[in-house]
Amino acid sequence: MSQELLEVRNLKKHFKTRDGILYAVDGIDLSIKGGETLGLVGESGCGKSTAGRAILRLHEPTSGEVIYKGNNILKYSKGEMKKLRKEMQIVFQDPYTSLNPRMNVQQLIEYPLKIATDYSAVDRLDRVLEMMEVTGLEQRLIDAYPHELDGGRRQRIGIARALILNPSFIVMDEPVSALDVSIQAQILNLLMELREKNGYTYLFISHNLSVVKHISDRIAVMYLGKLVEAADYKTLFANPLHPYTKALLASIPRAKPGTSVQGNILTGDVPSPVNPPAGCRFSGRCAYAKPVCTEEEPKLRQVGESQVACHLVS
Amino acid sequence: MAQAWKRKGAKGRLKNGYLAGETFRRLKKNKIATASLFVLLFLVFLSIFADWIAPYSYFEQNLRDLLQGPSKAHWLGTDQYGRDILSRLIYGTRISLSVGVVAVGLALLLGGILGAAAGYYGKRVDNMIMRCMDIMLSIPSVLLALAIVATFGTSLLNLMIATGVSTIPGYARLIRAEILSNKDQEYVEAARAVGAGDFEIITKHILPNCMAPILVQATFGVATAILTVAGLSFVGLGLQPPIPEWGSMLSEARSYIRDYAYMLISPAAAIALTVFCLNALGDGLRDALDPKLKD
Repeated sequence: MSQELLEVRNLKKHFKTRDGILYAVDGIDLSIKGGETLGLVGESGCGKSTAGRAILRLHEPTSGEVIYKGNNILKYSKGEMKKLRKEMQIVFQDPYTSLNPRMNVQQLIEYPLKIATDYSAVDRLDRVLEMMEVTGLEQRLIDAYPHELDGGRRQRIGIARALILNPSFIVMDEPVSALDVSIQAQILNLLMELREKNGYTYLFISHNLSVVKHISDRIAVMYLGKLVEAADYKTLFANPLHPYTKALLASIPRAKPGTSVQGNILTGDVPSPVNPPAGCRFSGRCAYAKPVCTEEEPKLRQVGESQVACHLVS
Repeated sequence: MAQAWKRKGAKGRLKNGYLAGETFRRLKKNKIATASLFVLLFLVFLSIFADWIAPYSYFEQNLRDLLQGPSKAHWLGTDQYGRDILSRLIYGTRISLSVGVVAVGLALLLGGILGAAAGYYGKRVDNMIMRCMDIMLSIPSVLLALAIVATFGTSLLNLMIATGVSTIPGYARLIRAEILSNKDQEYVEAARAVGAGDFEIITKHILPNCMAPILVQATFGVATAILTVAGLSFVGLGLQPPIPEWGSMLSEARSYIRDYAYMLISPAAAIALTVFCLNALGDGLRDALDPKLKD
């Protein structure tokens, strides 16, 4: 495999709220090789979307480093960042709100070109038509407005828009979770096809394990702003180490009726990220918690082929 | 095939006025808005060519014919000095329209900049700007306009500035609220993700999505501005006689309302017509600019 395209070191994003500081992302480390897809999974509210946005500096991270092609982009000036945006793009979760309702398909897709390049109008139109073809949008839709299209087509616009600048790294922020299941598969296949053809690197954020398994090379599991486990997708599914990962895997619905659920099903809710529990953040819901778990915070360490943050795994 | 389609369709689609033409095409479907547009254009035409169109001069007094009702010689009658009301109305178009449009334009521009900055940047900027606006709001707008005119003198330009400035807080508040409710939308974030700057985001993404209330407020604002100037004229701080202005014609005619009501009716009707047309046009424009209401 090629070398690291993107490395995230101890990335933190805290928000100030009325009740105190909200630790949305609290020191995560990720590394993604060129051409690889890293799946980032976790429950709603665990900070995975915030992490994706902090990496692109859509939310300015509180601290940490984001190293892209050897440079820490958090130190970049506004101008340097603007240039870099051509290489790092994002596809949003909700295709109903992420498209400006006042722009038609052509304007939406060509917009990145207008901002980031000095293409002429004819060249832009050329590229727009090309991208529409690539993403499977019929040409007749070029004058349509987002509200006239269905979710799948809208998400194709979102993808076309993200890819028109030929980025190398794309954050996929739950790109299929707002879509019907039948359309989810189409969009996933489109994303994989595009990756194969153009060698894109994805950070694929999702709460849906089956989707992540389908598309990722490596998977990182987040819980309450922290990374609990990261491994090759095969390793993670075959041999989950962290109790939280085990519980997540157990919660995937089985297609076969009659099969009993294995492992522990989680009870309770994710604690508030405003006042996270001391020690291991999962300790309150963990079936195996020991005294040490509420006292000392476990560090992410290498165990076999996985990285895991748990006192009880050795 | 794609190439052929592109070459054929590209020409029209790449022309600069493509979208403006599209908006106008949709505006044309709204009959009231179209009619209003023509009436307003006609008023503009009147004000430009008043010197040729008006049958009499606006200031020459004719004491033999004073307080005449509508007749063949004076279609709308004459006032207490025997001046032809129709001519004064036509000349008055100049003042009233320009005061209304310039005052609102000024208020919209300054209020827009302040409100947009406050809403978009939030926090300290917001607090500073909006507290200043609150101070302005605590003074009644007519009183504020009065103070400005009293200080700087009663020229037409000062009148426009005074009426405009006193309505800035209203626009600033409205635009700030609209920006606040739109700036956290995901499409704004999408624009930021491709590297669009703040100015670009505000003008190209947020403002077009809050056109509706702004347009409505602005069209009402023109009417209010005309009436404010009328009020200022009434207390003697507006335009000095014999300059014709709809508002001052109205207030002069007020004392003759019992016996010579026609004097009052024509300037009042002119103001009402203008305001109505502006409102209808604003409504039509709002709909024409909204792609969701297409066709």
